[in-house]
Amino acid sequence: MFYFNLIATLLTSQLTAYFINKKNYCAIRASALITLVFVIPRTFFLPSSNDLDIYLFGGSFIGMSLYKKFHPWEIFFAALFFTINLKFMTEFLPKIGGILGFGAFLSLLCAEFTHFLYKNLKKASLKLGNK
Amino acid sequence: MASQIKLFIISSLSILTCFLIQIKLSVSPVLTAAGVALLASILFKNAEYRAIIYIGTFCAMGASFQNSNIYIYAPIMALINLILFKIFEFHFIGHGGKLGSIAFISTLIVFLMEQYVLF
Repeated sequence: MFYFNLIATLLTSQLTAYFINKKNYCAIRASALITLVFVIPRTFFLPSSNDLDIYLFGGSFIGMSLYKKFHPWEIFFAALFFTINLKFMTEFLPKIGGILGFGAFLSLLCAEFTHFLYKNLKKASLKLGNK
Repeated sequence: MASQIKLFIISSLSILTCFLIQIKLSVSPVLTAAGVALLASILFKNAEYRAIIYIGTFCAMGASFQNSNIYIYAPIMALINLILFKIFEFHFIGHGGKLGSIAFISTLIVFLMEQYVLF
């Protein structure tokens, strides 16, 4: 089930980001539209997997980021962090609205920090290699 | 000031609408939030209105409060949403999840109020 949720998050996050950045869609419209495009068929074909909706919707929040600020790879890693995060967050803070958005926000911060660490470690290893 | 009052009313209405659709029509929270947000993005040209409606739909997704209390809590959440939205309006631009985080903070405040302060 984890991989299924991960694919759902990756799909909606990358699609939303693509529509906002490349097709100049309004962020809210892109997020809502992409969620509905996946959630409505899901209710007919997979009626028992309600949890999937949360990942589809959450993924679209991650995608509401600008490519100027986040590289598509950062969005990819944010989606991965989000899938892992959300399971714990919904356990600790059940029935609190906005938890998907907050999870997406934290995941993007984690992805940004990972990118920052990677860049600096690469620089440091290059410097050590030159010496 | 008039625009702030409009935003406040729109935010309260979006929370109430989403909550009532979820409860009365038994529609899933995700479908309700996405549907209302899509409608808002088509109907309203103003980006502020769209954003505040989207925040409102997230607040209603939690639905931790009881049915009867929603009429008290919706305006409180709308007010907190509006304050936070104005504070973070020019911060975290292009950072996904900003609107959801605002909704999270306001819902958490109201949830704690419900548990420990008001009723």
